[in-house]
Amino acid sequence: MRPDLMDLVGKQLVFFDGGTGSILVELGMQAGELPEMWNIEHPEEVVSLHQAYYAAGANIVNTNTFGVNHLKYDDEMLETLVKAAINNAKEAKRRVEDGEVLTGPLSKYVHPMDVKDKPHYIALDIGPSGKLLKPFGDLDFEDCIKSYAKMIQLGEAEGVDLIMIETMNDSYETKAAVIAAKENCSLPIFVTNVYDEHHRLLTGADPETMCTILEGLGVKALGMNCSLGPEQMKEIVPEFVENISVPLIVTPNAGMPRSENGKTVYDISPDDFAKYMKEIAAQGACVLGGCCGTTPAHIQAMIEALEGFEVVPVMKKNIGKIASRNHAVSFKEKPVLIGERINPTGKKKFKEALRNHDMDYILNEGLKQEEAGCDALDVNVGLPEINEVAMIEEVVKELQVVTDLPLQMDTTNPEAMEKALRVYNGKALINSINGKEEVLHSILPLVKKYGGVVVGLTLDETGIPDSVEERMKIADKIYATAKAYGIDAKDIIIDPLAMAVSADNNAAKVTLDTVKALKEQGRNSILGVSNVSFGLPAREVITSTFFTLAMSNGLSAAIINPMSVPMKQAYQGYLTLNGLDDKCLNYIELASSFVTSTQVSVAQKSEVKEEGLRGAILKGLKNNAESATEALLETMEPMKVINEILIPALDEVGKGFEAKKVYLPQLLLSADAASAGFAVIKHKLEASGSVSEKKGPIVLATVKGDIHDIGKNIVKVLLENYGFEVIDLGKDVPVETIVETVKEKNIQLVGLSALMTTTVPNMEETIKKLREECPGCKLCVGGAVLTQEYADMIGADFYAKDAMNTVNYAQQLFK
Amino acid sequence: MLEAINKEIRLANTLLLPDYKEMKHLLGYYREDPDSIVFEKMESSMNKVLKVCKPCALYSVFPIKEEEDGLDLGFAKVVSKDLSRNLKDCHHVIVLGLTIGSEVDRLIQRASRLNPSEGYLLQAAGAACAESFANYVNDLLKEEYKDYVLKPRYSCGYGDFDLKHQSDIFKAMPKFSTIGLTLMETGIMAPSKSITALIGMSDVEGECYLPECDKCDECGRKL
Repeated sequence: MRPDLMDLVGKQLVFFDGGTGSILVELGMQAGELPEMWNIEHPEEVVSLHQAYYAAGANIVNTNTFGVNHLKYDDEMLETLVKAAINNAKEAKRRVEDGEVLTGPLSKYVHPMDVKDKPHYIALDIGPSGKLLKPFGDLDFEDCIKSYAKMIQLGEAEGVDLIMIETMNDSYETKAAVIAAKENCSLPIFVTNVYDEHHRLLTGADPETMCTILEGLGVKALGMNCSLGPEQMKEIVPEFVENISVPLIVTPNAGMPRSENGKTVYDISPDDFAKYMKEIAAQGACVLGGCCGTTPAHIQAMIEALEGFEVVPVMKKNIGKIASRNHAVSFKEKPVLIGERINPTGKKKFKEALRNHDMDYILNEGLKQEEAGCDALDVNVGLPEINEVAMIEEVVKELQVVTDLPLQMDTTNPEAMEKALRVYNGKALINSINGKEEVLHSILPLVKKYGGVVVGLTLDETGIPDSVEERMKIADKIYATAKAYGIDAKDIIIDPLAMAVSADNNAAKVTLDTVKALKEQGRNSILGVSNVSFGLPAREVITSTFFTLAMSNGLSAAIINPMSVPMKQAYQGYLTLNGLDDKCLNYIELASSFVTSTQVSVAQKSEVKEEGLRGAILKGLKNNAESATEALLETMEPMKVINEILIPALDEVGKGFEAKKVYLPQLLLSADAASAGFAVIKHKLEASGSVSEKKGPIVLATVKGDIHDIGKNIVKVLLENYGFEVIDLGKDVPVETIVETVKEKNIQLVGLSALMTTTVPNMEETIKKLREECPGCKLCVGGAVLTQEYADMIGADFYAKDAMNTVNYAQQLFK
Repeated sequence: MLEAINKEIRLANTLLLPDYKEMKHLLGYYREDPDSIVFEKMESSMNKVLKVCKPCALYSVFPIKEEEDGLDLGFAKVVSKDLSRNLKDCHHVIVLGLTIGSEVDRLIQRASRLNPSEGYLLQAAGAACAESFANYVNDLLKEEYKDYVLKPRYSCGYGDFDLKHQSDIFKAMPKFSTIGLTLMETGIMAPSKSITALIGMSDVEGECYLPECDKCDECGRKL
């Protein structure tokens, strides 16, 4: 009776097969031929390939389906290929188990060995989709999941033993494939990624990050394959071993390829391969095989060298971790700081940004917090009047492009939570669950499915208990229920709830004592710190002191405003005093930022006098423009600064650009400097309660199918500098979105951009629709591929040859 | 018989040479040089790109045949006078794809959302780096196939070699995805800083025909 695969993996060495492509080439496959087609065109060769690997001693062979997915093949062909591939593997398995001897060209690679009674398995091999996911490519995340779904269903129905997702370069695509596998079968899922010599994926993740994300998703074994030889992979193995809690898979190439007499050969011989793989097994890898260039001889040599080898046990790690696409953050001794600013509660401007769909404002809030030193960002975009599910999906997708920090999904709407966790390229913090049955059973299944560290609030149906003991009881319930769902204790972090000390004198004390009690039990804790000072004057004094006390009691993470100086001081002070700041260097750096701000501005001011705002704009010096504007505003009316200095200086640069005396980079730097000046003026106007007048609004969009937006963004900056309000619909914008916006806001001017000839038809379609539905609106087009001729042909009102040209047209129109 | 399928070349980002001359051209400066403020920004953008780029290339060698009405590349029939001239007397062609990675796009996208002038500089730096990597790969190939004459690399979109053949190239090279190089529905490559090219292999030193090349002075095979 064959043992269950998962009863073997991790307890004894389990061996995969080796290279497929390189062997098929040897069997006659030509450049340009698709290996998967060999399943039906040359089944005998594919069977012999699998048989050779089983004969070499491998336990698992991968079906020849690396290049198969729904993006490349229709239903029928996909089914044909997958079934044929699995049948080929089954036939090989049958032959080996019936004791049939391997014949043909591949028999030279193996010497006879008794493998009949070894346990043999078939893995459904899944490779990358061949597409890049949005926003850098055009494959939608959900479509990526769908592209794998059907073949996984087929695989399970046809009786494969596991799903092997391999040669993945991108953590995001890896996640899509794993979700597809989880949703379409109940087989064990193994994953290997491709690391480079810097120990990272093409998209930036290191082994720790991938362990964090993939273990969160529940894969049964993970590791690396392809690209590197065993010698280089040996260097990466310790990074895995330090972080992994599931069995480690290592399947290297046979070294590096080189040409010899016109043939491609790899430089690691079977014996050398075996030697390295023995070392890799001793380091802690327990599922071993080969990738490009390895042959049945490599696999056999490795298996023989490891005969009788006792597997190094996999050590479960107990540190809670979250991860973005490129790094993991651990809940260890150093408290994790989570920025609270992406949240509309009590923030008028943020609410406005959500209503107006001002994504730049939201992204900027994230980036400012990243700069301020946060470790993660809380994301709360709930407002009664907006569609939270759609909004959180969009914000998460946009934020994960610009920030490196892991995200904390903060919503009470389970549907929004699922959407956010699903599309997130990483392992998120999940804010939150509590002791209420309904909440536990709606959110914990999501934690199990997508992975995450979940925040458990110590409240339940009866409210927030007053005592430490009662709060701990709720924590116990949360841990027990999570365990029943198969969620590890390390993936829970308890929030003992900071309540306003102004309402209850004992509020802070109970919370602090609960933090301590959690710490004593080895549990992690998190607090939204600022609540404690609610209703009190000079709140930051209380908040930051409370923060220090909580950290001293063992707080693992805090949701704070990282822009608050007292909070930063409290945090750095705590780290420095607890031996977490080598030579006090971080404290010294922070301290230097307290003292010199006034000195700097004095120095800058003297420089500014010589330079002046005009000079700063002409030269493109942003900081100087800022301080010069500040200086001017002391003696000059804001509107006068705009009309007499800022705009004329911009005009001067603009004219130079039109006369080809100034180049685009200079024009843009000048625009940046002018923007900085405008920002100072706007701030001053807002402080005095007046509003600066805006022209427009103008709608800008890069048309459907086109993802290039640099040109459009440049136009936007210039238009804004000239006082226009711009509604930026972004890139790859559907025709309907543009039409709807123009109708709804009664827009007079639309600017459309396209970079590629292939997307100009979409521009034409957009224009046609706008003509039909919004006859009064003027249409201006631009972009690398556009010409006056093209613009006329597709019926635009104006062809803007460059960004300044658009500004001139808009000024004429809105005179 | 020449045989090379899906051979990979990776270059550590630290070894990629920054090509400021190319970057300058891409930004529109030809005769004039950028001033020191612009140059400083160019340098800083270039350094950011160099830090995150991951130059990877993949190539295979295909036998080709000249036919009456065009070329048979093995994986596609191409009717293009310019390509035919470029591949005259060639018996094989190297089909090459390379990219400097999607992290460069992330960098550009982040900047172009929040600081378009930097986005503009970064994309020029990215394009210059892709070009620089292509030159590096070209040199390696010349070394590897030193027994042959390698023709100048030729990409879809040059002369009358239609851009639509990009999809033929990607179909012939399914393993491009292993270096992260993909083609979108629109015919645009992703990551954006990527290049595909054909490099003809011949036994004879033929005359060069490159309508869009302006480097005659640097090249031995001047027309």
